[in-house]
Amino acid sequence: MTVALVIAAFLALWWILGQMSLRSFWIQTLNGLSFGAVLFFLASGFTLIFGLMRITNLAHGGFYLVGAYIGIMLMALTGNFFVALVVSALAIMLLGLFTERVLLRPIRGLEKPEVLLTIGLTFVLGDLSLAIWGGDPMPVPVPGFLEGPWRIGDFAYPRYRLFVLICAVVVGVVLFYIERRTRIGAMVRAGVDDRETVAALGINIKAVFTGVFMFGAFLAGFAGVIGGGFLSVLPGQDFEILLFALVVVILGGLGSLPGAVLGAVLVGLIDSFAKALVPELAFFTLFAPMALILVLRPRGLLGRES
Amino acid sequence: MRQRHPTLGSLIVLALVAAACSAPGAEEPTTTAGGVTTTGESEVTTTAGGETTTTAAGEMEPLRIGVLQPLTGAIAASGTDAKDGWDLFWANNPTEIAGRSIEYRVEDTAGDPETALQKVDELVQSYGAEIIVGELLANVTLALADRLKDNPDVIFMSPIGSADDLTQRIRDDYPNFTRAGGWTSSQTSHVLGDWASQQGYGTAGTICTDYAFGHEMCGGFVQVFTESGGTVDPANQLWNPLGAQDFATYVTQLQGMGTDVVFGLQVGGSVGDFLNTWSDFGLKDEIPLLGGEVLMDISTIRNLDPSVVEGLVSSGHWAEGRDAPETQELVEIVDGATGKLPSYYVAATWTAAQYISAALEETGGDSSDKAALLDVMRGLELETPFGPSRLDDHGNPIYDIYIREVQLRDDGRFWNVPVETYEDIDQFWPKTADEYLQQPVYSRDFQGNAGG
Amino acid sequence: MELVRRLSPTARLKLFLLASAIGVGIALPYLVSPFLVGLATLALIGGLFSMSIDLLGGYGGLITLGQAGVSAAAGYGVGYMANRVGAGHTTQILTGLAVGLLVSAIFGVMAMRSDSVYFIMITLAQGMIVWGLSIRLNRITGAENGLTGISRPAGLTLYWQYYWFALGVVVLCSLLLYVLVRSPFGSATRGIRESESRMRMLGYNTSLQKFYLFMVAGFFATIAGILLVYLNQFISPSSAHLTASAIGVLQAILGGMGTLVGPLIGSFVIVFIRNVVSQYLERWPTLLGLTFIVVILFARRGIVGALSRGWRAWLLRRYGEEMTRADRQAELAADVALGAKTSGPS
Repeated sequence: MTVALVIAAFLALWWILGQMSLRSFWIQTLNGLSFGAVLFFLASGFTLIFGLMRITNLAHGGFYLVGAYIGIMLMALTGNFFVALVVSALAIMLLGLFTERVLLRPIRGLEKPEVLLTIGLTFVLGDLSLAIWGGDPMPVPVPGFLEGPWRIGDFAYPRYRLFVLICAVVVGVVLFYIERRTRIGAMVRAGVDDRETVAALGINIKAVFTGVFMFGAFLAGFAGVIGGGFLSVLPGQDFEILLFALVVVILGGLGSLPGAVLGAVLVGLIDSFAKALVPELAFFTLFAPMALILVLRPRGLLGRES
Repeated sequence: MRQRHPTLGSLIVLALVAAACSAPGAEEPTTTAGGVTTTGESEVTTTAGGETTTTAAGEMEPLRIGVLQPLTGAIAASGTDAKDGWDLFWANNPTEIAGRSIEYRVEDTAGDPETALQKVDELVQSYGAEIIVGELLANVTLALADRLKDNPDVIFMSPIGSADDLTQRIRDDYPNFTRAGGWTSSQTSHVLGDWASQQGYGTAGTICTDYAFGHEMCGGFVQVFTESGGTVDPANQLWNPLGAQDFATYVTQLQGMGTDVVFGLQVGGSVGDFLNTWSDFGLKDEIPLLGGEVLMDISTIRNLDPSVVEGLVSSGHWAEGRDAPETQELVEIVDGATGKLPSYYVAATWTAAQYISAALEETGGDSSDKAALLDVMRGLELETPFGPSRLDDHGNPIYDIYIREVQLRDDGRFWNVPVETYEDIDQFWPKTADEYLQQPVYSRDFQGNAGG
Repeated sequence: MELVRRLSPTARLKLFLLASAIGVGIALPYLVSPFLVGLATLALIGGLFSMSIDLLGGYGGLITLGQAGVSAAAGYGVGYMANRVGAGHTTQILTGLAVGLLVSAIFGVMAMRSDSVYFIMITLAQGMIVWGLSIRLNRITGAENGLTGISRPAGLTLYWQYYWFALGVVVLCSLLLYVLVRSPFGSATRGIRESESRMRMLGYNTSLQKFYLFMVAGFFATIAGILLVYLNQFISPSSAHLTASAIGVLQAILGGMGTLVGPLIGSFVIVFIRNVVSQYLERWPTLLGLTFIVVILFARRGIVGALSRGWRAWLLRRYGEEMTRADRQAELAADVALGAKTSGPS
């Protein structure tokens, strides 16, 4: 199975290189990776929450949206992008706390009501955002030193998108480190594998749950502000970005952090190259692989059989 | 199986008998549709829809107008602008004309054709609207036009929804439709095609949204540009899906084309995303960008950084920077009420209201003969916030179209200012109606490309 | 009468409610305005649509977020034949049925190996694929503009005629569903919901069973889609969007999953909120979302569930411990219908 996929990937690469110049190829790759970076931020939180708590938090898109709007508001107030970024993410973290403790606690363990409640929450968040911030599309203003292109020779690429890419790498590394090397990470991994035993060991599993949910929400808010730098924020974006995030985790495997990376990279690249080479099919190139993966490997590429 | 309860059985039989005896249509509550009340002397007629209308003499009831706009959903900002324009006109102008008072109700379509259809039924049947004003999106407008076309007691006005064919090839199917205050998608881009050619640009690439509105506006540009001597290679026409957010790929492709100029048309949030990306890749200083009207509409660019939009050129029937009393009056009113500079959506519904007001003045407040009211509208020549306006034989307005440039104001904001004016442009310019109607409506397949 | 008196109080109540509902349903055009009758038609169709979702979700334990893809596909089948080909009504309906069932089959094959959360996500994507197709295939679907000019078959053109027709069809389908869930097919379906692994051990091909379930539910969604396109005489991509599917699920949950009448009730409530309340309340999507949250938190078994509970409480007070066996069984079934997670491997 893996061998087949790798061969397919090589064939695709060979064909793509035949269709465009090397320069175009690198630009499209960067385009895809920078978009994938935003998806990674969103999908990683989503997959962590699912992996540990088996909650499919469809309100993640709503978290992204509200995070972005708060980011814009803070930028207008403080003019400092990094302050806006961190504070917005913290605000969404608190929203996550509220969601987990007040809304989801009473129905813990009931998978379907959980999913459906989060859909209801998305409706509310989206409409309240419209009421508060209006419907005008707004980008998150980026700091001056990240505006415009970075030039090397005759190659120019937007600075901000490179920044997003670097952020993703940094965050990814941090997440991996936390998961593999810290005590908290070990608790989370243990909780994913066997909830009851962890609780029996005296670890406050409920606190871990809440913590993970809050962290996932933090990542979503973070994604909103960062993504808002090159994707205008507007009503309806919550569902759109959620859709992409879902494709990412389905491809990569729910509950798996490496899966989120793989999925994000794949989705970003597919989206980018499809738009360039087969714009007619740009929509299907996204969903078709997902459908295929689901039929062949229902748990995603790196998902766990559980 | 349980036995049927006799009462249940008899109930059902009774209902069936009752149904067989008379159709509900004959017993329907009356809905006024002629703007007149009945006090005794009236006729009750049943139309095909099973509804009744009351005609004949009596006092004047208010003229009820139903307004349908997307107030929630992805296009909510523009829809709210449209609502504002309408509200502000009536707040600043008399709501009683020739003794007849105007009442209206605004309903939210959420940008969804099905919701719009339900709401319009309610407005026409329950509320008794005689004029329906809406919508914003072409597909919703078409659905509404279709729903209303067989109703002789209602006039349907679309000051924003610009689906070309409603006043062109399929005109006759919609006798009660008018576009007072409105436009066709290609009307303003025809002019830009000519202007581009005049500037000496030889080749052009395009990036337009892949749906009817995009096809029509792009086609308008391409046809006139290529027929004036320019060249557009079909491979250089990019089409992005509606709602696209990530434009990096498209922008880099445009860069690779090496054309003299690029024509762009985007809607909603994609405008900001596209323009930001265009600037981020450094193309704003490299390749001249010409915008379809909506690309530079103030409602979609007002939140962008001035450096991203300053100096960009587009064409439009609306220019909020136009130095004329009708325009600046509207700007003042809207800025005062909302803190924002008015977009073309605001101006459009304002103008539609202006037309209704003026037409009603002419008929002395009588709206019972809809065909006559439409004729009156067609005869009007008004000075609107757009500029001078009158309707052509097909029900679409004739305007001055402006080549606009985004310029900074003293208060730090920016707006579109006309730098050149094409006077008296109708929906067919530069062709005649007959010539134009020979060709199909613009689509993905037909862009009017003179090069083939 | 003798037999009726021997029926349990609950059964008598249900019979009475059913009779009144049918009575009111038939008499409706005489009672209210054409506009409200139109809304009632819409609510009936929405109810059928949500019933198909309930079949999968309440009985099969599989929540689908893509059912609108199936019903819209059927609607487009009709619309294409009407608008693009100009075929007669019989051809239109047959095409609609064929397309709807074909899409159900394709979706079923893709989804049958999945369960629970993956199923939700797959169906979500499936619905959106149909939506994407309807936007792209301009020649077939008219893209954003949709397909107009879809006339109703003769004898159904007037609003009240169509209403009675829709009422009849929905009642018929409800009867079919009633019989279905009490058949061996229904039992096998419920078995999958409770424990798929156990079913497999008993020798059932659960994937195939899920496929059949998908087809059957798809059939009812197809009918709903065809009814809708003739009601509106119009179809556009929004009919296939995730929002449409989500509202279908909402209606089922609101009314009460695992009951057949629940989705119908939920549909009426939602149609009411969307059309009547929105005139006075600009924030209706918030209201919709809040309704959802409140129902999930406090009345998980939906309106029907809440009413049942109230009824049974009253019964208890009135008759003491003389609750009928049927009542108790029904209660248990409703509990499991919401997929209470059982610990251990699923």
